[in-house]
Amino acid sequence: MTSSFQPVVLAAGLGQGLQPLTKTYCKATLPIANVPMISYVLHLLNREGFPDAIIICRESHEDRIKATLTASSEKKGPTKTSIVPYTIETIPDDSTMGTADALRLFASKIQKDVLLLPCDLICNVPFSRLLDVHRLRDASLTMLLARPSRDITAKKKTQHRATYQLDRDIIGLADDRVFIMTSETSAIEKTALQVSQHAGTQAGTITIRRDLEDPHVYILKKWVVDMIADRDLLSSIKDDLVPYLVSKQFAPPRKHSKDIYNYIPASETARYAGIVPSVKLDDRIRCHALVLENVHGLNRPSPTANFCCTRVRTLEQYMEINHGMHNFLQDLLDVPEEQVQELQADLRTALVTPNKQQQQHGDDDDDDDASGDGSKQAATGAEGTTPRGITVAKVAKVSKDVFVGVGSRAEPGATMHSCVIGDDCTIGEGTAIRGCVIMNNVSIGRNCLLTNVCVCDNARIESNSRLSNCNVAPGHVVKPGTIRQGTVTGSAPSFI
Amino acid sequence: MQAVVVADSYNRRFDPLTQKTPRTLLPLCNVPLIDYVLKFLDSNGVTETFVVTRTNADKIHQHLESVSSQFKSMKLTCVVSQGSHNFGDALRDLETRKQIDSHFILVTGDIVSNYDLRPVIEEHIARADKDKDCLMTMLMTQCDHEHPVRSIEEDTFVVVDSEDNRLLYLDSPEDGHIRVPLDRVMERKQVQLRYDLVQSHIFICTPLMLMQFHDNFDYASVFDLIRGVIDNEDIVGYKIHTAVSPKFYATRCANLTSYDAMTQDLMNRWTYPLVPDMFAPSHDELYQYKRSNIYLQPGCILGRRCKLLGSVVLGPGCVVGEGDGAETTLRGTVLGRNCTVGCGVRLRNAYVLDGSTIGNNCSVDHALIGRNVKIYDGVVIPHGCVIDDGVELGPDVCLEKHMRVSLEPQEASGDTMAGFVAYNEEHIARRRRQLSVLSERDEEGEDGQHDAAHSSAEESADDASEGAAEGHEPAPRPLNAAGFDLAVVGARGRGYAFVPELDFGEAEENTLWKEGSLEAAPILYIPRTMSRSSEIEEMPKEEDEDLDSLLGEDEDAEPLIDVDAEFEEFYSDVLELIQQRVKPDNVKGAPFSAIQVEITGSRAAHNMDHSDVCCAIVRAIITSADRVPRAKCERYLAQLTAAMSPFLQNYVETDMDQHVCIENVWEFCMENEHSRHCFKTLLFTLYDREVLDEDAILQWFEGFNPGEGASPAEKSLYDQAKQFVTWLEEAEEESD
Repeated sequence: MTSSFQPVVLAAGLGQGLQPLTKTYCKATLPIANVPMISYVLHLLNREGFPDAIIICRESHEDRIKATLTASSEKKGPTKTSIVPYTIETIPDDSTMGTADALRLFASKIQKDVLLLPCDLICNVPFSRLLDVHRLRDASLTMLLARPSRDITAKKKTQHRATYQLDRDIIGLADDRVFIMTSETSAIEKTALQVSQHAGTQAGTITIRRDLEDPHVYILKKWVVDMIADRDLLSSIKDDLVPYLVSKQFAPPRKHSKDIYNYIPASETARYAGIVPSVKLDDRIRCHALVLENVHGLNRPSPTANFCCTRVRTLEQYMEINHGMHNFLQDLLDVPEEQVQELQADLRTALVTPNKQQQQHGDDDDDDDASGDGSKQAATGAEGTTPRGITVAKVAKVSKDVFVGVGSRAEPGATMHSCVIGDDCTIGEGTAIRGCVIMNNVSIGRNCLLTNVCVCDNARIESNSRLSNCNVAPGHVVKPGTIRQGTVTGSAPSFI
Repeated sequence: MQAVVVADSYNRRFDPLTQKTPRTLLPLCNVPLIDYVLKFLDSNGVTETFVVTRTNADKIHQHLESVSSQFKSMKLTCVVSQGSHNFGDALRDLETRKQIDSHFILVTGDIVSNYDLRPVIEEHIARADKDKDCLMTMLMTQCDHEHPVRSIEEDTFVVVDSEDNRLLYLDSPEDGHIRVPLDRVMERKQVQLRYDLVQSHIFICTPLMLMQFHDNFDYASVFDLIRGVIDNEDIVGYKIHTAVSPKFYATRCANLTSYDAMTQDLMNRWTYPLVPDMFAPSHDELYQYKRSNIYLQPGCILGRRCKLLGSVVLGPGCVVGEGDGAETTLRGTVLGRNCTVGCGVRLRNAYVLDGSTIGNNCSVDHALIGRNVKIYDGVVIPHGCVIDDGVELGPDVCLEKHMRVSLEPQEASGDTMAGFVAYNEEHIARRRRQLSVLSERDEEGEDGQHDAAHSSAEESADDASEGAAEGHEPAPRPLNAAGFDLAVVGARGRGYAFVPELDFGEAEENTLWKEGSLEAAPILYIPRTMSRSSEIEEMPKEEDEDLDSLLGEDEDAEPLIDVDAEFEEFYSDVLELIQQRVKPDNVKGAPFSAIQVEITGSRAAHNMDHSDVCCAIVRAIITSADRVPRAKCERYLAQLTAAMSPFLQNYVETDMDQHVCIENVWEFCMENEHSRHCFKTLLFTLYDREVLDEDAILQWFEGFNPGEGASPAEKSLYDQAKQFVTWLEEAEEESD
């Protein structure tokens, strides 16, 4: 069944919402819990049994994506991902293409119904259910909709890093059929929601919801792809194509050659004409959705939820998903439970062992960093519990939800709590890190306090700094003793 | 629990049948409509019911007295509200009587419902206790869009909050689109847009609700109140909630189509337990219920060759198909008491009231026939006909579709005239067709009626009768001995063609039966929206326009108001006014107060702001001087400007306004060669009349310098201005 669909992963976005991380990373390779973002999608496709996938990305990103994926699949250890075989198609770097524009370029390579996925999808929904809806309803467009367990409609309280506002959707559903689909901004422009009277008649009751998220997972019939190929005006799938199809349901056919009904192959029309009287000829465009009620929140698992399904589009979401990832790793990447524990355990033992040593040694080694360092490294090496070369020493407190990359080291007295630390980082003595995302090759000095900070590659934070709710740009050096509280909201990103 | 029944429909859709008996007493399956209402209220635990009546109040009163014994636990009070012209008036009248002191049920007198209101009432009271702003609960029933009880006039959709069932919006689709204002959706998690509901015309109200009618004397119906509450949500703050149950039946008999549909529903037992074999308050005996929904009173005589095909109600003493003629078939038909139907008759959805007789070989299809009607042999009554009490038809006539026949010649009333005016073209055309069938004499008589009765209303009557008069010679039309209209009612007939009156602003089709209303519906139904929207779509369009419209360019975008064009219109209004009303040789005698009123009106119509008004008046004054000989120009302008000045002052308030005003005067003097030499005079007059003050003029003059390359015109104006300013300064010095 999966072989009759062609998965296409759209990875050509610039990741505006994830600045400044996307300055140095290509969005698709950005690590989440030290696994490249795009691996989550490719892993899911593999698990669902799709034979292959097409990745559409920017020319300059091709090599990086390839390299990252190869590296990540060769990587030993629990977070090794098994991804679906893929081919990469590229679009020019300088273009301002929409998603539909990109699809148009490769329309000729698509011979089946298309499953479109964003590269930043974190999801464990069995696609078979989505495919079922698509086939059962014989839909032209099938989409995935999810209601997060937290209330997304409530006006958010002032939040830090709200640098990139996402547009909510207003969605009108009758059962699983979509009759209204518009973003709030475009609805505000038009001041009204609109549905044709005939469609309204067919629908009867339309539930208009603002609590659904559209993770941009769509299945398109082949003829829809053909139509995209033929119509230059459809630029974005989300903004143009989907609302167009939704509004064209039950529209009366028109006579000119580019009428939407002319794209529908005769075979599909013939299937109904005269055979099923209840299917009227003007009901050939159908938009359906698989609605998942109550999916996990990003960082907080919901006890009643089964699935998680979200996109990582903003820095805020990136932080949240990193914090919460330990809850879902098992679901998302099929890491066996004991390995998750092992993943955490190897960190823990690494922490505990030097602790013991430290206690044996006494507390006097604070003065001598260099020697202490060496001994600890040796100690952990001897234990053999840190195959990935993590060096952590005398940490008073490490909570379960910490991921540490290869070659990173923590000095004695460092505290880490719900954070993700990349490769080759150093964390100084007595430094406390809470809820941070620290990318690769970052060094943090002594007695720092970092709360909810995102530190980009190669940054250096000198001792005695106190940072909260802010971002540190790549390669930036934070001077010793800096105290900075991030601006909480506001449109301008608050970088140091 | 109290209840209010408004027992007048305030429209005349069932005329001529309801001219003498009110609609609430019209039998539905041989039971007067109001009995269903009373039964419904009684079964919901109502203890006191007020029946508000207007026309034929005595008949309703009489009827209530006769049935009151059946509803022992309910006190029935008849309230006559003679002065009421609409539903709202009736409620206002009731309010003044101060008899309603609790929550109450409000219904119209023509509903049939088996709704169990108790849970809804409980919920309503609980809600009202918690929140004093709750005004009422509106009950609706689910109904497929194609069902005939869903009448065209009530083609509404509602937006309801999913959580508390609060009504957020109610409207009708427009141009084939349902539009929900965004502010009803925002700030709420989930709302439901429902286009599958019909109004049941049952409302559970708080006592406050009557006050609303009292406060807003323009509310003519409950729906005006609902609209008022919805539209002024923020100001009024009242809330209306909805209750929907797909389980119960509740429909209002609002027009012939719903009468038809309700009768069928009743026979098909959707209204259980309000079905003929269980509910017949005014009969001694209940009906016998037979297979395929046939209800018979004992003592009906069915002929050997009579076939009841299903859904038939026969009242006591009916005789059907006796004799040796051809087969008589009945389907979906109700016969009243003591009706007689001959042989070879085909009755389909025919509703025949008490004591009528139908001869042999007749055919009646979707028609309502009154009491004691005699239909002779060979009469065909097609779709949508209404026959008045006591009419006689035939033999061998064929009525036109949707024709109405009355026993009395039609009387034209004031309302009628309004109705006639509201007629659309098509209706007049149809009437012409009808009348061309009629004989000419009758038409004369009819016209004579009009003239005699309402000479004052002639104007509008002409509208209607003209159409008829045009194509006809005043040749005599065949009348029978009693003066009846032979072509319509046949040789032995008694009756006149009757043109139903329309309510104001009511769509024509509302009064008619929907074609093939019941049986044919699933097969023949053509979605209205489809046909309509395809018409729109047929229009030639640019290749990709549908795409464009989707990609942001809203094709329905309102055209921007052309401000310049608006101004030009306003200006020409003003100019015309001045030219017409002001005589050049008698400026002072012109009716300036009237001119001012008209300018103010026009200003509002064109939405002009202050500076535009000033500009237009100045320009009009100067331009109007064209018609005056050059020599008299100065005097004319001085007088006219002086006269207009008090008015102009309203629009020239600030220094800026004054500056603009001077600029205007200057500009139009530049343009208008004829009155250019009067610039100084104009300035002086405006100064003298205190429209402009000294400072403003001096200030303007300072900034005004034509320079070297000035045209002679500019120079001339500059010289004039300079003279005036010099004079001003001198005058100032003198006064010092």
